[in-house]
Amino acid sequence: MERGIINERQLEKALNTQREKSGLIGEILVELGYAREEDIAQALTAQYGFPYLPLSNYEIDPEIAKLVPARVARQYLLIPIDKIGNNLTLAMSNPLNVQAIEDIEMLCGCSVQTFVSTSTDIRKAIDKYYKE
Amino acid sequence: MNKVKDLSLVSRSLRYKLRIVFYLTLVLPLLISLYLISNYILPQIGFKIHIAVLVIVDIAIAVGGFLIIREVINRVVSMSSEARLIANGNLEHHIAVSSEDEVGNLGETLNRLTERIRDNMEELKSYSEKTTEINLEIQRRVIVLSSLLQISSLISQGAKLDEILKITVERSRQIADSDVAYLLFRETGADTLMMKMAEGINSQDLLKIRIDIGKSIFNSAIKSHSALILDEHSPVPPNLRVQFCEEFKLRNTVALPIYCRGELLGILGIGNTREKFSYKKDSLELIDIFAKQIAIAVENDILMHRVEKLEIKDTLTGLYNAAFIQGRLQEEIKRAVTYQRPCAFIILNIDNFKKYREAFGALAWEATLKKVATLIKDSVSDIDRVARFGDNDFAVLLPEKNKRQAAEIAEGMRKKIEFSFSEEADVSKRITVSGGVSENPLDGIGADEIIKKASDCLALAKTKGKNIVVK
Repeated sequence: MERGIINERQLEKALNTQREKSGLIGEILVELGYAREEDIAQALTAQYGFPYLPLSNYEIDPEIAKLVPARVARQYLLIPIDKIGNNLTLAMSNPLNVQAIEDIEMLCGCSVQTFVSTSTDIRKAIDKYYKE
Repeated sequence: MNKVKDLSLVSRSLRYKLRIVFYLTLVLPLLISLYLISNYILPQIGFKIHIAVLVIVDIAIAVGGFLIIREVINRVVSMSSEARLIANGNLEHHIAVSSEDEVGNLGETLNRLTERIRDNMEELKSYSEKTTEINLEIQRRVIVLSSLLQISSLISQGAKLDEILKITVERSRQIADSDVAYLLFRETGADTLMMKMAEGINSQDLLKIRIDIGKSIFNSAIKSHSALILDEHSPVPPNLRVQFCEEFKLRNTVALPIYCRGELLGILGIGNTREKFSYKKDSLELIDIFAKQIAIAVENDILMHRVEKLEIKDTLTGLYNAAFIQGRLQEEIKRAVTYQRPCAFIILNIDNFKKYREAFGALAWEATLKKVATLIKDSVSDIDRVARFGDNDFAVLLPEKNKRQAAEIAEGMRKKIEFSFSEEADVSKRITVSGGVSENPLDGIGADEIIKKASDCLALAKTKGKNIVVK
């Protein structure tokens, strides 16, 4: 709203939809056509300072992707994109999901850094790198 | 006194008395006569032929009289012997009557008496046989009634269905001299009958039987909701009779279809291998009662299972039961997937609880379970769910918690329980718990996977020495 992408009525309608159908507010705003995924990602970037990574242009090392099981990547909507030393970099649609980050840290035994990406890009990347 | 008794004629036999009479009435007067003749008559008048003839005639008349008396006495004695034979139980004996005098009449009377007694005896025998039959029938009905009582008690006590069916089939076999009792159950959604239970001869072979209803001897009975009677007189098509006899190795049978909620449940039957055998109406009535008991038992079992499914709480601890928590876990996983959130699961098991139960008894065991349940319940928030997961297992469902958070909560519970029982003077009463923690999505996306992972972690905690939490 602060960035002028959606208005109060649209937010109210999106919240009502969330109550009825359940789901994440960002995804519902996109679904209702009030915002683009990029708008959501950029809002997170602006508000919380997470760097934005357009995943569609990014090549991921498949070995890095394997560090996180497919089911975990799909549920938390994230994908590992790089690992340097003990630092693992994730692309996430919701970098505020602290529990997910903790889980990845526990799983990989690394400290985690996060990038924001759009849900669609992450899903595409998951489909690409986790062929089951 | 005894000498007087010995001299008395009262207790002597008729033949002895006859001998005495012979001596007194014939021999003694004859001897006196001979004495008088030889001493007084012969010396005075000499031998006279007519006196000699008179004496001889006198002797002849006396002997004749004696023979007549002896004949009478002999017949009386013979009659006495024959009467004694009858009195000893030989009612078939018939006294031969040769004359119509008093002795003859006595014989005739005795014969008529014997005949009357014989008729009465036969009548008594017939009554006795009937009484025996009635007693057997009463005994049989008492057995049936006590069997019904036993079956009803088992049903009301909530005994296992198989146990009730076994008793019912066993008791059914006691009807109508049966060699075998069998229970066929309809296979779910199919037109086939499978042997569920069999008691008696060849029961192991009978257990292999599987029948296509449409082609079986039972088909018409099932369609008409009536009994199948196969015996000497029953009009069963010969091919079906042969097929049944070969398959069941029986010659006669009574079988009754059992229905539950209008649907065919199965067939209860009894049978034997006797030739020229026919069933009585009451056999059919009794088997009908047992068939109805089976229908009641099955219906009761269905209802009990339905109630169990509807129940969500454990009666002892008041916590949710295992079935509920499993269903709830699956739902929470779905929610977690939708909201991209984690969902954690803990299983706690009381250490050394088998020994505790054996040492302190069931009441102490229950009290401790309740206390542990309360301690666990008090350690979680309102959105979390706690369940009794097994005899001494507890499960905790933690929505929105990841593995680290769940492990912290489990560790808190472990410490709390350890502390709570640490004041016990008896060391063996100091209860501790071990725990296993799992999480969706880290450990799986299905409830079964999550539960298995938590169980594996719990097993690891036990091998690591108990009183710890493994994640």
